[in-house]
Amino acid sequence: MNKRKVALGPGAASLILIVVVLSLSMLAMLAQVGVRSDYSLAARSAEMITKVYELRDQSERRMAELDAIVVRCAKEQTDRQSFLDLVGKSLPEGMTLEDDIVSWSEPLDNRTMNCEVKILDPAGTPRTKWVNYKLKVDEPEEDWEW
Amino acid sequence: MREGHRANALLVELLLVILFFMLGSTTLVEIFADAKHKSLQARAMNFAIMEAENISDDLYGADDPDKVLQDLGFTKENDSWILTQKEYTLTVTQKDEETENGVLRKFTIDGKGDGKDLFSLPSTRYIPKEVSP
Repeated sequence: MNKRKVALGPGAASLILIVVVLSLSMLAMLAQVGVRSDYSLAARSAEMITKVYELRDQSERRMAELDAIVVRCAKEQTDRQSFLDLVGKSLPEGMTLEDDIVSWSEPLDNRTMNCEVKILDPAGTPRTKWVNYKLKVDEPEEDWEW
Repeated sequence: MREGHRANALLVELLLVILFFMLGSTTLVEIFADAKHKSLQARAMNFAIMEAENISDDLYGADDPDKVLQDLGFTKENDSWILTQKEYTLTVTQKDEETENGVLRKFTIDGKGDGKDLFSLPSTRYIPKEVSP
């Protein structure tokens, strides 16, 4: 039976240590990089969703403003067309009326929400109805990294 | 004599290697643990924001928000509703604002995880009132 002599020369253990520690360090670094990018993506996603809901909040406030205008105009004009004309004249800056649809946009940072509301019969409830709200991203943020 | 000297040197080297390995592995284990912790935080944030979005949409269309929150597993504490999950906690508070011809019903969904504030999601709906002509 042949017996092989395994010799561990001086420095071999140190070399193995260096290789093992370097490999583990690389793994740790890669894990950190991956996890950090996951975390920043999650944080960015949460931030973006919050912004979208803030835009919705703003648009609901504008809807309340518009409803108040509709009620005021309905008290002054009973004829549908003259009522709509008066609404068109009473709208605050940024809102436009086309037929019976009022549209405006809500800006927030680099996003804009385009809103459209239909004016219903002012004698009933509700007096206005959402037709559309679309979110548009204007341009990438300055700190955006591809 | 020479063999014994060599064996001693090897032994000293092995001891030093073990010492440095222990030191290195301690640091590396800490880095791996930190990565795991951060990964759990990211996961919690993702789940929390997704759930908050669903809750926000449910509340937006709800006629009876208290029932909706109860059905979703929230418990009422003082003026807020709390849902405690394994990795995060969601708190819903309601604040109504009277407007000229209606009410702005505003819910704020706050997400907390690992003792940190994750987000604060508003969910507002305008509810018009009947107005006499």
